[in-house]
Amino acid sequence: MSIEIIEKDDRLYRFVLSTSIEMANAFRRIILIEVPVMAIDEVIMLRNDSPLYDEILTHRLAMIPIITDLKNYNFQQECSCGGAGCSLCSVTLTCDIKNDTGEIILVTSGDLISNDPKIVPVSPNIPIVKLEHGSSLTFEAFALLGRAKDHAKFQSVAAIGYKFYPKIKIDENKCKKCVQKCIASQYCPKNLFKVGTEVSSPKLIPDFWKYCDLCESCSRECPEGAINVEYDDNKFIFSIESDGVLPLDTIMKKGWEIFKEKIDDFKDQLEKLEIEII
Amino acid sequence: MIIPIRCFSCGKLIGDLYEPYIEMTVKKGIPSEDAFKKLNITRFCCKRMIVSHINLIDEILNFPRLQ
Ligand SMILES: [Zn+2]
Ligand SMILES: [Zn+2]
Repeated sequence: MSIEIIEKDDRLYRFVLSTSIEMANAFRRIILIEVPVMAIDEVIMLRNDSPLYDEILTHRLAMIPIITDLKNYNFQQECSCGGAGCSLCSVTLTCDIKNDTGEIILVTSGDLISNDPKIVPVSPNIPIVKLEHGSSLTFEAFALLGRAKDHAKFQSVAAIGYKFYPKIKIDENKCKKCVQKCIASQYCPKNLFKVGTEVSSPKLIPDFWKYCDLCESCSRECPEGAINVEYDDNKFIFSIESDGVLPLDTIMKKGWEIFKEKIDDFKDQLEKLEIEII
Repeated sequence: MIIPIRCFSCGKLIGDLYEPYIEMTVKKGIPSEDAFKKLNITRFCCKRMIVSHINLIDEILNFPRLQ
């Protein structure tokens, strides 16, 4: 198993993972579902004069991505407080706004005051609700660690997926039968073929595998059937997009950690099992 | 009503991008394709969230609800 990074951004990772498809999919699912992230889970609504109902407002609050600190916080059910809620397992975000400006104001995620200055919403500009003159909004929200298998608000990544690594073979002997300019290469929707005026076999650009969608339009349009599009069974191009709750390095490391834990757990369970051979 | 915080399909944060998008397209006249590129919105599920949204909350705020 090896990782080769193609693109590295603070919000986007693209890399080639060389492993079997089962492992690749397990890795994808673990990152999507098991990596813990903080999100608002409980709201005490004290006053809400806004046009949105309490439930809708609470749902909007839960959707706000919150920067997570995995080192200093534990799951509430595993915490020493026994699930009651303490400073080791929950963060309190409060909001107390009364609009007496005479105009309509927009309440944003920047108006949430956290009791831990590190655990704040990813962006201060996320709109929550609009308030007219004279209305007020007062609530207390509790953010907890959770896993995305319980609720999608605990997702650590916005999008994660992989595609197959393309292998395109061009048969030059068949290409020689063509008299005119290559037609098939012009059909590529991503323009991955080098454009040449001479009558010769088409050439791919060096990093075509980064962009190829395996649409097979080149092999379908070739009158001689010279282009053969295949994919590698043991190489996958992953792309992970984070919404900023955790750095992508942490997400990947935590994902592998959980993966290893799960495999060890599975091994232990297998050893305990008494198998009857019929 | 008011712009959803996340994209319904993929979960990307789009709530904070609606205002800059309206600023760019309606007020400055930038084509929406360029605006999406500047805001780093690449998937069409996220684009439809912004393109198809109508801020009805502004209409509702005109009616008095408090007595
Ligand atoms: Zn606790
Ligand atoms: Zn989307």
